[in-house]
Amino acid sequence: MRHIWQESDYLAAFYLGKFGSENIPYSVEQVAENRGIEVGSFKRHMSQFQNLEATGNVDKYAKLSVSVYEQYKDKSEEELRQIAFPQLQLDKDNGKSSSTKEKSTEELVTVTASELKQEKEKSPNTKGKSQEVPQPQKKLGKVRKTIVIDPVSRIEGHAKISIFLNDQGEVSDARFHVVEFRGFEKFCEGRPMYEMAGITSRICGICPVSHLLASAKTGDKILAVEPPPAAVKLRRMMNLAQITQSHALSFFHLSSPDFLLGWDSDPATRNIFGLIAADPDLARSGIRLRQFGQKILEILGARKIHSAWAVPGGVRSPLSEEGRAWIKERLPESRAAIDNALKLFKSLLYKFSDEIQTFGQFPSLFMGLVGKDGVWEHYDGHIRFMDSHGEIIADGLSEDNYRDFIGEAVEPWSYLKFPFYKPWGYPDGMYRVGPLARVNICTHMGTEAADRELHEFRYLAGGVATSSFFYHYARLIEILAAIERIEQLVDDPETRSELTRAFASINQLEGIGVSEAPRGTLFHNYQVDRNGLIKKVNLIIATGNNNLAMNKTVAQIAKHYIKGPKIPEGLLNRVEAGIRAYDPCLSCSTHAAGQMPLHIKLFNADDQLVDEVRRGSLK
Amino acid sequence: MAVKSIKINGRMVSARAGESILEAAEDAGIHIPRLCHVEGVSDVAACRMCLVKVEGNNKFVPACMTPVEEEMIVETETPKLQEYRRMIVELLFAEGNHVCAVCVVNGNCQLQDLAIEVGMDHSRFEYRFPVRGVDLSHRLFGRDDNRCILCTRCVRVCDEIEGAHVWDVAGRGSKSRIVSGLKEPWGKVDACTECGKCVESCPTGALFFKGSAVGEMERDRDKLKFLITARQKKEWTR
Repeated sequence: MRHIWQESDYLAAFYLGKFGSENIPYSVEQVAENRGIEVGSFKRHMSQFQNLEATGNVDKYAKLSVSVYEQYKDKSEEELRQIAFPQLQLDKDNGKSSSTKEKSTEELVTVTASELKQEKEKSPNTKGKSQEVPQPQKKLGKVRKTIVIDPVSRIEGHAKISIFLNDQGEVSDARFHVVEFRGFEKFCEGRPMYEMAGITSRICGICPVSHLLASAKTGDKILAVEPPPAAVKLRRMMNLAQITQSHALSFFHLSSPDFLLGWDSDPATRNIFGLIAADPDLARSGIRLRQFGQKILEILGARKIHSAWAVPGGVRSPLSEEGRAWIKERLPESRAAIDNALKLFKSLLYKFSDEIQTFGQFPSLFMGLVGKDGVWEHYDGHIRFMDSHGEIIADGLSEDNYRDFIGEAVEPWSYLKFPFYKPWGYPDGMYRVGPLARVNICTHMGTEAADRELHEFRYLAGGVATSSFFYHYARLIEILAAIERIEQLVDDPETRSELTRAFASINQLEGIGVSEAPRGTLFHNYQVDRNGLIKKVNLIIATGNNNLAMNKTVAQIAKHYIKGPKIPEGLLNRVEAGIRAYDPCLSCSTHAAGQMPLHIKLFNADDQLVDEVRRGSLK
Repeated sequence: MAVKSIKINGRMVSARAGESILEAAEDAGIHIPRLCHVEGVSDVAACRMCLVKVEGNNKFVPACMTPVEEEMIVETETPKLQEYRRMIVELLFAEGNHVCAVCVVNGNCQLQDLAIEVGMDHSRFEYRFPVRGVDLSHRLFGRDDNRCILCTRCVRVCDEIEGAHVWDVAGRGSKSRIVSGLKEPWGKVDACTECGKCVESCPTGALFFKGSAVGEMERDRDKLKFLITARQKKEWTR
């Protein structure tokens, strides 16, 4: 970007042209770069001033140069230095070393809390969960300390949490920052529409299927075709397998160590390995349940992750006979695994009354797909909004009109957008999606055992479940429903039909597809040109839908558990677990690879960092 | 027909006069990596993959364009040649936008096969990420310049076998591109007979059947060879 010259820039150039850089701690190049001025341009201005000084010929030069020259030509070196570089004097007053040439002029006056944080973040020592960092005395004379939870562990993606304290040292607010950025919406532009399912499934290794299906459905709309019935059934089967494997991962691998080993147990063993040591049968059944789901994905799509099997117009191949046999053989074991897990979770529920009250216990809207007669749905159907009293706020909505009911807000401190229910505005239109929302908004699950469990769930939750802690419970019910539905589909002869794909060319220039990802409702929206090249992409990702609610949950847990400037580890774990309940997939939602590092920062009322805890450094 | 005796990698090989080193080696069952060579059309030595060492010559020569000579001594697998080949493939990857994971020919790509053959596991060169476009204006086919390696197979096949000469190379140096017609959208070029030979000949995913999803594009690699033998030897069955 071209720099617009200010009087201060002319002053600096005048000073340096006249007196050189011997008496200031920066070189000419540094001064120019710090001001965002091209070095060559800056030097030309310096020589202009030298010419002015030598010839006194003012006609040839810009008015502002001349006025600066006229005004300051009689000043001494020291006077001009103080005028041109006022920050040097300030730094001297602050006791800062001005002999270093490393820091830029601008930086020296504006070393702020955030910069010190960054320096802290860059430090290689990230093993300690809670470190006190000595901070230099600031201009305002306040001493700051830092606590950070970074990374947030056992979630998919990379995030950090900041907790803000008021003057009494109590928590006033908390923020959940998503600090990775992917950029799919941008770099898909210009690609053929037919490749989008394969490309967008690469957004995530946990739920590639969700993107694959949402993208294929968007493609169906652009081709303006109805996929053959076999394709719809096969896509449904894949999504059910996806829900099973993802939920099993969330529950068994990521979250159950908290329930079963305790929130305050040793973080070194509070993980899937600790669980294997403590309860090998449960851990094994969870791992095999996930395998069941993954294997179905492989049977259908030829690979466990990132298959490109679903395409605009249908799917590429039917269910094979061997595949069908494998699924049928493993169904009873998977069913037993989920039955046991449900029984175990319900038996533990009474212990978690505190967590139920604090892990995101607040009213909000719930959004998701429901099928005919309000039955639990994951692939098709229509969108329903329900409030926390069970009142249906809106029903029968079509994804095609998503812009009418979903707004997207952006905050400068997170890469994750903040969707909200448009009629209620931002941030009042906060809604939750995912297992809890789907189980809340549906009238029934549509399969026998899952309906029984839903009934019990509603009894235990007292109607509409408003605590995000119930996400875990809802997840287990959904696994059960998924397994029951796979049982039905696997015996459906249509899933072995060869007619699985409809072919067409571009018939519509925009398409909006929706599907229920394990984490919630997922929208893909593409605009294409007449040849099918992508012109614009908008993705509303399941995790993003929960962004407002996750922030509120973090604040609620922090307010309840954190008192004073020190954060015990076990309490931090609860903050994280509050996030984990949503099973967020951050790599999806912002369109960086890696595991979930949590970084919690505690700020006081002056926005200064008091404490900082990092966790789960993987390096 | 005159027969020449040459030595490839220490093996005595007999070759017909006028035959290239590449053909002689192929007949003798010695594989030399190649990318721009396609049977039945003329060679241009564009890719430099088939470089070999000929004793007495202080430069490497492309096997596809060098005719055999009596008592020629050829080495095809010296460490230096292997290093060069790998470097060439790395440079090809660095030059375009080759993203196998989401490419329509993933698993059926000759560039990908070659990368595996020469043992390339990463590129030591900085990727250039050029801004190139995709042409989907044709009714049946698509062209993605991001994946084009300028082997010019399509140019030669269209010109020499189909006789339509839809394709040509425009621009210079790193700005060279394959163009259809007089740099028009493919769908607007009247000369195109929609025969699809260019698509069949393309080693990468640069030319593809429209509507192909990721990893879905497969080619009938023997089709061109069949057409040639059909014409030359009147063998009309496969």
